Amino acid sequence: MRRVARGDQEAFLELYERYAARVHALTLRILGDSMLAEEATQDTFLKLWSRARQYVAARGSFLTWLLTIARHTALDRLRLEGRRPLLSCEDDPEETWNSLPDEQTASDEARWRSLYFAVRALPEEQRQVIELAYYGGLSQSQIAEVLGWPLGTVKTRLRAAMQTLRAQWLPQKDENPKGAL
Amino acid sequence: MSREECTPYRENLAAYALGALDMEDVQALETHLQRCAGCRAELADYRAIGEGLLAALPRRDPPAGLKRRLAARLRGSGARRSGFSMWWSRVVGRVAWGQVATAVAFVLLVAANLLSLVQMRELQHQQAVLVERVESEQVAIAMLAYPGIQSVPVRPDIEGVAGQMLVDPDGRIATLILWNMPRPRQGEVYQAWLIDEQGGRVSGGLFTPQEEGTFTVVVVAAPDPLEKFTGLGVTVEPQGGSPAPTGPRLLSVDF
Repeated sequence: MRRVARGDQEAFLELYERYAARVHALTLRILGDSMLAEEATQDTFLKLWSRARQYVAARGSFLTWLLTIARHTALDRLRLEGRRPLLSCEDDPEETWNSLPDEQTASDEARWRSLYFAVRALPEEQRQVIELAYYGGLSQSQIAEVLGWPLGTVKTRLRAAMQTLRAQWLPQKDENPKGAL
Repeated sequence: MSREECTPYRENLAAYALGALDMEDVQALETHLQRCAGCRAELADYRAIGEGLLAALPRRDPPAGLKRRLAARLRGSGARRSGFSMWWSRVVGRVAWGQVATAVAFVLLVAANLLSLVQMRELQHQQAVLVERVESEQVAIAMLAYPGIQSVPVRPDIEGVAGQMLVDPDGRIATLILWNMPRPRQGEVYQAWLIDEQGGRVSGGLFTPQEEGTFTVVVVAAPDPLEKFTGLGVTVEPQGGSPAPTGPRLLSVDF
């Protein structure tokens, strides 16, 4: 990352090789359109290139920083296009989660995979609230409007979903000091 | 802080961590978080889940061409850009700045050349006027030194003008030396007329005093020896002169 901050294009392309699939997965999940997702992925990496000096390792992992940029970029594009957020995701994890390049990556991949399945295991109404909030960028009031539910119901289901994930996933994170992204 | 006191805020922590808390509730929660360690700890957990959700998606490879385009963008820009500057770079990138620069340079070059041409012509005009003036004055000086030259007083028809005329009776050249001749108006010129014995008028040339308040030397060229003429008059004529006097007379000279 220091090399990228110094303007090393080769280092930048190495980072792209390593993280492009992660970024693209997120932008595609948010936008639900391959062309828009491709543009959002490109914009994310161009922002990475231009903002590399702003990254401070002490504040969090590089991947979290990069994916946060990707999320905001894709949500901005979602609002710009006036598109409605996706209500659900039809990914096939078995097909895409079968390659674990190294031990560290394998460890992270395993954790993220467990979180993915924990989300998918949530009751449908809780999972929808979580996904609309995080991948759709909607507030609780907006989610209530989209789903036609009372606001109190949305609040209750969102909190219940997060409490479930906290109970099921965070203990695994605590067992692994390198758990933060 | 008591659990009861935290209850309304704890209900909002998960939504806040995901950025889904409605704006009207954010301010109160953030104020509470500043003084409640328990809620901050719970929020940290939810935020960790939020960060996990960023990566908790199966990988999706972008199209292969994207890397090539990014590499091309970096090679093309060679600069760090983001947000507005990226948008601006896309706008600017569509303009052929090399051609614009060439066109601007060409226009400036043409303008500079035109300016130089105008200045050169003005200088050439001033030079011609000065040369004519020097030549007239040299003729006048030469005539003063030449034997047999007659000096005849000028009779002005307008106030303030005075002068002498140097006449070589055997020759065809005379010199008018005038003082305080006003400049003609725009589009007008002074014309000298030689008057023959029958009263006919023959043009002796056009002139325009260059500066008021100084003397003007005018060389009058006659088609015949001056002894055949009885006098000279100067009138105001349109620019370019007239075949015969049309304007008011300014002065006269009797040989």
